[in-house]
Amino acid sequence: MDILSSLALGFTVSLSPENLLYCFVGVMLGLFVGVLPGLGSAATIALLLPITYALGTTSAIIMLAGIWYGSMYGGSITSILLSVPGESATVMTTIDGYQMARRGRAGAALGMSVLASFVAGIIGLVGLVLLAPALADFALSFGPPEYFALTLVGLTLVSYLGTQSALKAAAAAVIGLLLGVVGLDPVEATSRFTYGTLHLQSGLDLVPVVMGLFGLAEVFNMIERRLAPRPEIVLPKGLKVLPSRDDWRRAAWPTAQGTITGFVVGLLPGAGATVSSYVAYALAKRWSRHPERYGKGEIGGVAAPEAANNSATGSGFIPLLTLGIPANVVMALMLGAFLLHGVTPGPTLMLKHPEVFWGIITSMFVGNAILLLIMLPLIGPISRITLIPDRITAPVITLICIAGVYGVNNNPVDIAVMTLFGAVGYLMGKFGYPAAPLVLAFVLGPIMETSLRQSLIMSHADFSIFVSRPVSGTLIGLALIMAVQPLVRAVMRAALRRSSRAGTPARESSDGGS
Amino acid sequence: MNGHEDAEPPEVRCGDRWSGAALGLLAAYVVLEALRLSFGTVSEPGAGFFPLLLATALFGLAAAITITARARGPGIRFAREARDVAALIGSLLVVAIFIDRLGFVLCAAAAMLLLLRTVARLSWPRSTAFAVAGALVVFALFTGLGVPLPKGLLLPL
Repeated sequence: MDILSSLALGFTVSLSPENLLYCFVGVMLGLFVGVLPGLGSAATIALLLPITYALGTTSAIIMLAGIWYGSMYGGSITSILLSVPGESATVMTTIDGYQMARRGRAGAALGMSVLASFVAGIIGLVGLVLLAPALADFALSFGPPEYFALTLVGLTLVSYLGTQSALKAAAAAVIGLLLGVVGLDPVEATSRFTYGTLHLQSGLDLVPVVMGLFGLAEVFNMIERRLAPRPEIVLPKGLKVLPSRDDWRRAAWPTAQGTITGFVVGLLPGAGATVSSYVAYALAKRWSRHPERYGKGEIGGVAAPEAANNSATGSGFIPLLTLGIPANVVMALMLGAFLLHGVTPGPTLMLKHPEVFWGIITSMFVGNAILLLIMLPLIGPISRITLIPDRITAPVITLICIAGVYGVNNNPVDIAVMTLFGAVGYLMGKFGYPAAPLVLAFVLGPIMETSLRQSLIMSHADFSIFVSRPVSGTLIGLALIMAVQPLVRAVMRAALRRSSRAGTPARESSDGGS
Repeated sequence: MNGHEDAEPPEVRCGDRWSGAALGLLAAYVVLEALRLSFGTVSEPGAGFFPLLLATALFGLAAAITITARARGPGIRFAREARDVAALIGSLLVVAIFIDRLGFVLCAAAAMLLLLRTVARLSWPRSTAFAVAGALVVFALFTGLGVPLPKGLLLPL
């Protein structure tokens, strides 16, 4: 089937009244949670996983995907108006967006964020349409060493990028892998870390873990922040959201550059929308003729990260749909949703379930168009969602967490597991450990272990199998470089600190002696 | 953004001593548990192979975190509101114990009442009204969408 007929099939699926409704519901929910600081897209998708049981596979993924890219659009609103990012991927938008709002140019900043998001979202999807079939074909030749290398690179990247401490991110990833070990061993079916309980035989469920780490932990943080009231936002009357010709001229190149950066970075397992927005902002500033304007209300500083995070949402689907490897936490949840419906994403998805594959992709074109049509005229009223106080959102999130997590298996143990992971997530935040690597590693763990053990069995314990094959060799090399660099840097820094501490009194005494 | 431990606040860097030690203990525990499983051989790894490999890696990371921690400083502080966090954790565990017997609405409303009274500091009548209404709305929403929740005592039908 060529691409055009595949797209035609996809649009037949995504434009059916039922899927159109779920797409609309998904993007509106995404928009809502994106605008609302606190509840992120990952937590919302985790909360809604049980509800998708009643839906078909395509409808479920269409709705969940809508939440993800919808949240990217919504997240920029609070970044611009309040300097409070609604999503981690819109942190960079706060820098210039908020400065523009302070100068009375909130409308242009909001309008440009929506338009750059739309343009990049559509281009990212075109890239997905063109690249996914080729990559799926290529991935059919992948064996266990390639899958092991892919998971290793994913976990190394998620530890290396977008975190303040690579050591802590790596530790979180290892804990995630250990949590993935709980249950029956995938090769010998031996019970591991189950403590004789039947509930743990099938392993820990993804939903309570994610809802605890992302949903409940955020409630705990809100409580500790004393449920701080949000500052009042003042939107100028007759908000003009269409950017001027000069705005377009200044934002065109950052939008294009952000789109490409977002697409490429979003492809990498472990990177995702947040990292892509950091990289795009840094590049836009570096390549600008007026880098001094960045940070002071430059419209390119809004366009570049917004383009990048939306472009990355499209390319982020490529590793999942073609390799079965989730590139980030949201994709890990999507994998969970696929598996709940008995569909395994990977190289054969396009062949076995073309209606699912192309239906999901084309729904994102539709969803982006819905978001553009809704946001441009209604951006003012939508912005007022930010006025909902934490003292309302915190109890509501708690209630939905209880209902959502219980609904997965009708098992109260899941509520206890969620609470435990909520406490763990709260403490992790306190001590500077990121939760995203833990969740990604938890999902990738079984794939990693199975492929590692299969590779060793295949090669009769010859570890060169991982480096002698071109794809796995390249990926392992990349992972090693990234893993070793921060470790060496940390050890060198500690040694330098010690030598400077030891050197200071010595110098003082020598000075005194002279 | 990448391995720059100095980018972290000083209190977090001081807390690394404790978190590193805790990770070391966790790694030691996993080693003990993994040793009970069959290691197999490297050409045919057993159930204990992967956990042992991970525990070794975790031990190394824990050591690196502890070594690179700040020796002196203010340390991690918990706000007074951390008590409210502990109370909510306790109430959620109570919900887990009683939800099957008492039902979703009663348990969820009780947990929400605690949150609204102690954290949001709403009056008793407003807290009770919001808690019960919220629990009923969420119950209706989830059951309406095909996710069964326990009816329990208040909704026997």
